[in-house]
Amino acid sequence: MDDADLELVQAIAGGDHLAFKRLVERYHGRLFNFLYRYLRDRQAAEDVTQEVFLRIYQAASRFQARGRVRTWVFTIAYNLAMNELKRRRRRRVFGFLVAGGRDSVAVNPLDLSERLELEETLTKALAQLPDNQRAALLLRVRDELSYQEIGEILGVSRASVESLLFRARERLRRLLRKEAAR
Amino acid sequence: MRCHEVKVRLSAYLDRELDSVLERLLRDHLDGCVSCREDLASFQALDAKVQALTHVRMDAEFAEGLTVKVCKDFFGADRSLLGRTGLFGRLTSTVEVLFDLLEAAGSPRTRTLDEFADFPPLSMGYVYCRLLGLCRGD
Repeated sequence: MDDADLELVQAIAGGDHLAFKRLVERYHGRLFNFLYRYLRDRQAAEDVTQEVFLRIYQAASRFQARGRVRTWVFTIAYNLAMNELKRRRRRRVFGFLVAGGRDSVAVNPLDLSERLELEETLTKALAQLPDNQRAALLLRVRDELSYQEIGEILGVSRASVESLLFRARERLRRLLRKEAAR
Repeated sequence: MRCHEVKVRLSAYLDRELDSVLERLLRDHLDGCVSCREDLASFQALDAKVQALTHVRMDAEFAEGLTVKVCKDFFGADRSLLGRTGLFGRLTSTVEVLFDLLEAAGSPRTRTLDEFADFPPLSMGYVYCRLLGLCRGD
């Protein structure tokens, strides 16, 4: 996967549009899901996903092969998503604008109500985690990235990732128990 | 190892991110400690719930056109900042850019992306203006 990704990035740097299309196909689903769960807004997640690929296109020639493509892609996504959150907070301060509507997701009709309830509760609880804890948890549990990779993406040490994940799981567990007790 | 030492490492144990010595110590402790085993089980259950969150699909049309959109944006045919258009969007963007520029050094956690490392600092103002479509005659 890594070698294949590296070849794609090198081809993109050489102006190969087909390689870019392949990289988009390979990453857009994972990136969109991470951004959707992190930003909790479909429109913002789509915009940022598009922006991530634009940056990749622009910066492919400067990609340093000593790093992993996957880490690089998620680092760009995380930085852009943080900017989006900062922008939103500023907008809230000035009362400029209301964030986009929540999104409905496709679910298995067999256990629709149960799943919807779990989704809602969990999504709410995830939203209450600090941004860096939420990002670390999503990258680890949903995208199965290593602590080393998460550290590179978040710009923190491996030990900090361990601490972030422990606190995220502790807090999430507490929030879900609190919700269940209602 | 004592319970309080084990509990703070359970998350890393679950992720198989401990070194082999520590992992063995934790495993030994878990063999004989119900409370820590329960904690581990609750973390596992929590992870399973997060994993089970629906895989959200990007709008099919948007996904299909993503490559085209990015290429179009890259070559500057129709560049509006994150799809925002109209006077209100521009005004919002301008104020945001102003705040970005006024923000002192930013958060210590904020890093410069490698892909911007070779940009002269003052050129960022120009880049912002390009993004907002404020540059004329180029």
